[in-house]
Amino acid sequence: MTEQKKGLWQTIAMVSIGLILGVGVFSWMTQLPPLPEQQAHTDPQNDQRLVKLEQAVMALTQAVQSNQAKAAQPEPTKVTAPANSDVSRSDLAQVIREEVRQAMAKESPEAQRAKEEAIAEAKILNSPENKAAYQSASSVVQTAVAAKRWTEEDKETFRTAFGQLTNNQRMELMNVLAPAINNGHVKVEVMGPLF
Amino acid sequence: MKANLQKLIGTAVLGLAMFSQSLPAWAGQQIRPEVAIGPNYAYGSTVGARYSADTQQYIWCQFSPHNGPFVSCWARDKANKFYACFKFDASWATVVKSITDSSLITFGGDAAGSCDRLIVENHSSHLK
Repeated sequence: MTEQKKGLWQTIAMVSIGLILGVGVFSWMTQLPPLPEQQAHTDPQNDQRLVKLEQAVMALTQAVQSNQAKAAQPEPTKVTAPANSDVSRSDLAQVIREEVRQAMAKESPEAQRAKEEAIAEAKILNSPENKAAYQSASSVVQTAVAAKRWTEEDKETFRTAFGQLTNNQRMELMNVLAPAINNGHVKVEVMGPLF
Repeated sequence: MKANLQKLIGTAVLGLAMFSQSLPAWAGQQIRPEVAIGPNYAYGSTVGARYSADTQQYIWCQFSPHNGPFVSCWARDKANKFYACFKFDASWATVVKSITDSSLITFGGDAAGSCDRLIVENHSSHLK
């Protein structure tokens, strides 16, 4: 009897430990994992974008709700409340899509780079240094094409002016000089780089 | 006489030990094309241009991060024919930076001289 009791207690103890362990493991496995470090530090640009979008959506939702409330009021001359509501929803969806598209386009690295380049070009363009450099570089290229030779002096003058030009001006001049040299019209008399 | 012979052999062994490691084993494939220029393209190995018999040839590319950023490539062949093209694109800098003395460079562009391709191939066979 004592042995039986002992065995019974042992069984109960084992089952209890098993249950406790099982519950412990289950609760450990089902608890939510902590947010990763990266999620805690979201991109400020994305945050701003989301805030803008949220504000836009809120404003539009309020506008739609107010329209719906107005439409719900008995107005004998207006019986198109459901249609208006549908239109407003599609308008809202369209506006959201447009906002998202514009936000994405504005924040893309290419757009950022293009914006920065445009700002940099605008700063340089038509400054006294730029005007003088463009005049000098343009004159050198025209003279070289006319004289059919690219000399050490041309190289130095062009090199000095090149740094003060905008990319569009550089491209414009290179589009004249490079083909003239490549097709043999202008003879290169310099050693090493052209400028 | 015997002592002299021993000295001679000793010096010879010492000399061999000192210089044998600096003697290269010139084996392996060797392909070092000189500069060649075609319609709107140029190619050639840096070593082929540098060690050509004439004094004209060269091939190179440069990247200027401030002016542009601006990439330009230049080549001159043994007949003094010249080809250059340029590109305003910072992403090409990586390719320019990969040029070494084992490079075979190919570049080309349109008729206006704007680069549309730059290929750098680094290969043991291009080394001197």
